[in-house]
Amino acid sequence: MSTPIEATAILQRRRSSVEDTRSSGLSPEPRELSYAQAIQEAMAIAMERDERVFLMGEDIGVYGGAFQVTGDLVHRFGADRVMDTPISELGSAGVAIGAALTGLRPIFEFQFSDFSALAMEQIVNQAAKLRFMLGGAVSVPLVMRFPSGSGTGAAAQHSQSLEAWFAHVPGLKVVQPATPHDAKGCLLAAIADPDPVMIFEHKLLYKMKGEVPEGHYTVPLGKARLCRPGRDVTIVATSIMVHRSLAAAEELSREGIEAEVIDLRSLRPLDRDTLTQSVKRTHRLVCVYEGVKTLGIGAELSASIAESDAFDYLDAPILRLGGAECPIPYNPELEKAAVPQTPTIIAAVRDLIGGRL
Amino acid sequence: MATEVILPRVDMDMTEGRISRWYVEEGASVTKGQPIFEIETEKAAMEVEAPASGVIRDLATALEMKLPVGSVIAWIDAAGESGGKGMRSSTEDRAETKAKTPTTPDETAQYSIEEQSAPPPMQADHPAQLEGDGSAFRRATPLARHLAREHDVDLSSLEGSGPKGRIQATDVERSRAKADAAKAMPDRAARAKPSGAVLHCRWLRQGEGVPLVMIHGFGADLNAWRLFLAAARLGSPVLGIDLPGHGGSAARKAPSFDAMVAQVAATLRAECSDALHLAGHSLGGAVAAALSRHEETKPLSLFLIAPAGLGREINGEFISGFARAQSAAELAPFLPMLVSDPSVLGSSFIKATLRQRNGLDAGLENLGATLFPGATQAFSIRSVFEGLPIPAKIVLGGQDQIIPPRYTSGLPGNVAIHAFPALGHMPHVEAPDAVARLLRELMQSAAPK
Amino acid sequence: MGLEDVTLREKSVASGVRQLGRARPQNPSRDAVSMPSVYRRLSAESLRQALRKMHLIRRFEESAEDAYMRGLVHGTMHLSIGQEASAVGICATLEPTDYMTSTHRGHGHSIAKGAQVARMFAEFFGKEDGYCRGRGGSMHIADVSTGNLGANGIVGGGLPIAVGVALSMKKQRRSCVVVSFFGDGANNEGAFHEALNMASIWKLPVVFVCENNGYGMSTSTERSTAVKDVAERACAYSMPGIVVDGNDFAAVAQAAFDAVERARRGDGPSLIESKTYRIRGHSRSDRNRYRTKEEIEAWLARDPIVAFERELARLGFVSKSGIEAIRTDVECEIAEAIAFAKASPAPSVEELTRYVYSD
Repeated sequence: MSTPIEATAILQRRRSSVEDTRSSGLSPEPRELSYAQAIQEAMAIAMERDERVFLMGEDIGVYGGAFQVTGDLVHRFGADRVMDTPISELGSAGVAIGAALTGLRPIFEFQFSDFSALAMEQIVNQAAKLRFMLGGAVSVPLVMRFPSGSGTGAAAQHSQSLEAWFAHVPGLKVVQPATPHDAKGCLLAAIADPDPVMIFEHKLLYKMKGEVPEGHYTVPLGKARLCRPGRDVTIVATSIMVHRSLAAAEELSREGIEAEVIDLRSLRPLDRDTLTQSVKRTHRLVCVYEGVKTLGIGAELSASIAESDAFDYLDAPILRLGGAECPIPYNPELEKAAVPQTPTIIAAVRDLIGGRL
Repeated sequence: MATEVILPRVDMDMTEGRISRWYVEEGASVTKGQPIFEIETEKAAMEVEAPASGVIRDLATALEMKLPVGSVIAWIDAAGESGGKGMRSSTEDRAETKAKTPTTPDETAQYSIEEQSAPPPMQADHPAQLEGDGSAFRRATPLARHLAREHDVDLSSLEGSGPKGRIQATDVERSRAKADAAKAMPDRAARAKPSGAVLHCRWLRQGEGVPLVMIHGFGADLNAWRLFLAAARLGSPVLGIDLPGHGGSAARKAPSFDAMVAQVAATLRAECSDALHLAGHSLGGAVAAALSRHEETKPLSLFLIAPAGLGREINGEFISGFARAQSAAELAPFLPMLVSDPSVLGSSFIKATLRQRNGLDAGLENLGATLFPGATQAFSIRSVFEGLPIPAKIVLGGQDQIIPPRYTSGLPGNVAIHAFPALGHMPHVEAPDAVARLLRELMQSAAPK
Repeated sequence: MGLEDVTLREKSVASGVRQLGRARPQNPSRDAVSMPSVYRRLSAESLRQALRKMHLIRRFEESAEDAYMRGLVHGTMHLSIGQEASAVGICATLEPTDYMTSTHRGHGHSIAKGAQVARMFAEFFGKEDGYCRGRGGSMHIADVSTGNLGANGIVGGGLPIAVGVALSMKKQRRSCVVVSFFGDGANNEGAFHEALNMASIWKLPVVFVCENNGYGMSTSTERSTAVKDVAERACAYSMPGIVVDGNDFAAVAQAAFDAVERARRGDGPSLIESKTYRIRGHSRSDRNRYRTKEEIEAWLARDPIVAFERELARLGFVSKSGIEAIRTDVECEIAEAIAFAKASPAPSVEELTRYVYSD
């Protein structure tokens, strides 16, 4: 590590330049960034605003991260604040926790979400539980980022969607932003949050462009987003499945089926209220997610509806569309077949509306 | 800006009319083109569509009262004028509305005894009653139970139209509508049976006596009969059926001609198990003919207009192109193939044709490919006529460009053939009076003693 | 491990491992000339406080064991009776602002770092006044006010966290040192190796203290560990590794002083292996099937508190009556602590899910 003095000097310069930009006038012009750029911008803003914030991860420095999310940040903030770690997921996760316990705000990047399996001990037994085990004496303001999901041909150990594992652990917060706007806003909200927040980023979304406001803003953790109103069926989806569900809804609309699409955004806390209200309007529910279907997110969502006031409004069985009961295969056709695709969603909704289920 | 809804003239000599029923309630969200009320004229009941999208208000609810043509009978407030684009401000409010107020044509239909629509039971042999404990527990969706509780409907009195006989919200709603109608019109209610209908169907005309069941042709729907019925002056009630892949049955599929016949038979069994007369046009004519020999259907007479299924060839260009057409422009080249004088097919025909496309075009194309592969007819009804025990008439046009008129030659002598040399595939549209006369004569000749 | 192992030292010097402590620990007689240097570094009062803390730890654990047998304590507990010199010897060299991570056998560490036994008993009894408000129990005692970041139910769980705390100190330019206690079992966990490596590459102020009590539950270090001394592992991470007699307060404290100073200077981490023995079983359910009565008795003869008392008395730091006063004082504190804990309110069931997230 180099001396922190240099880093502080850089930091102060950055901060003043940001304030200059702000005072020189707002730029309300809509502006498009990719999902990866939006995350990078969020991290840069956080580091400019708060010198406690720093980044940790494998090859996030001069390499720029496996998916170029940290990019050139090391040149702006120095190797002290954009720290390459050894390939030691368990140990470096623990380091991040220790730093968070004692006054810093680490943002930890897993190179692939699959590698988090190596760090589960620290995340699940330590980060999630320390505050509770110690009767509220500490908090762990830690952000972890997980590039996840299939579709890149990287096969079984680099393509999983493991968010439900983490969402099963009280003490963690788990979010899955689906758009560049939410990627930035959720990350800034996560950094401000006093508790450990796990952010699952679908790798296929990194290049997706979308409108991203300038400056600092947050997206509340634990609030779902109604993306498309509709009267006939509620499709609740996460991450990339939001986009597939919206495409399906467009297609179904041509057939006279109006699907309401909800982007769940957060698995923990879970916005049951938005979902319940929607199902009460549409009387049908389809859950779409990439993680393995059985015992996954859809099970929780279905059960939430079955337990809720919306039960009496159901006019059809609840459907779950999730990952197949197999690891993610290599062959591109098999890989596609292993997770829900737009036509899968269309066909399922048709069957549901057509009374075939 | 609010749009006025007027009582339109729907008939040449109409000066006044009365609203027989509203399909929507005060304050409902309507979309342009959605049927919102029905007019009863001397000749037929006609649906009237919303002239704009928005929230409808100030409904002239006095039914049965005669009103001059052009009277303002409601207003539609555009989005923003009251509560936004059809989205309710309160979700509770919306849920309530959904449960009580139909907002789509299909749902509307479920409120009427004249109009009955239901998704088909996929396995009709599954009773709604659950097996196991011998109790009267019925398979029903939570919403159906909720509605039944709310409106004091006994679930055990219902038949479920859902998979495995599951009672759905529509079944409860239909039951309520029937109960309401029974109070108003006991005679009609007495005839109506609890329905497990496979296909969408609708009573196009009220009346006395043995009902006439009318089955439309490929690419049309039951509304295609309305023009003909306006001219036909039939005394009997008329039931229109939407074939699978068409109109209100757009979401239904028929993997084969036989399956289609079976679905219509199931529908008739549920809707009018009494004696009936059968009429059909083109593909519907073939279905009607096949039904005349179906063990569960006992028609008194058979009236076929340019029926399919008599020979091998069919106009393949028409089948695929007509099915694919999405606009008036795309439809235009095919109209001259249907009739010798395209001017008889007014804008209302085009509009009706396109409206029923609202969705499953691919379904229609697929159906076309199934029934008419490679410009041929994949089914035959010729065997129906040999020894047919009921009177049958075939009406056709000598200029038919869809199905060659020559195929009627060689049929048994007990079938009456009426050929109009100058007409095309739709003689009932081009010469409604003449065709209607033939139909009335046939029905009278076959009336039960 | 056997008694002999503690006395065999010369050989491992070759592997870069130093030893501190007596060549013959079973022979405690010494003259004033051979007084360990730490006795000069620590004041007489500090040495008496160290003795008091060792007594307090011992009596705390014996009383907890008694309370357990009386049904006052829920669950299990891992007693460190026999390891007191290790805990107190390390912590005697720390400032209150220094940090510590501990293990499931951590009562001694907590008391040595300054925790109050009253609040520890309250935690054992599951009470609201406990260090964890009754949510953590024996295995999670923490006292953030004294830099004690907590015991840990996971073998090796505290090691990476300690490294993170040290990184945090370095980034914040605070001169605090972090001690990470762990057992011999943890030295075969991946977390141990990852933590030592990162502490070394980043030159972080960590003192890794392996309390080698001979067994990871029932499995001896001979059967589980490829190296003879855990301290040998240090050379793989370019840090000093030292073996000390963990039952010898002075030896432990001397090693700790060296390591803490090195860390505070910014020269990076060290690994201390403190060889000791737990007299009680692994936990309350241990039936002692894996070791012999003779082995236990041999270690009982080397009781660290008795040895420390004798040495302090011999060197004139404490009188016989002074020792008696310490014992009486400790008894009083324990009695008062138990009374406090018993009287403390139980947590409310309505607050079951409180403290999962920040309010």
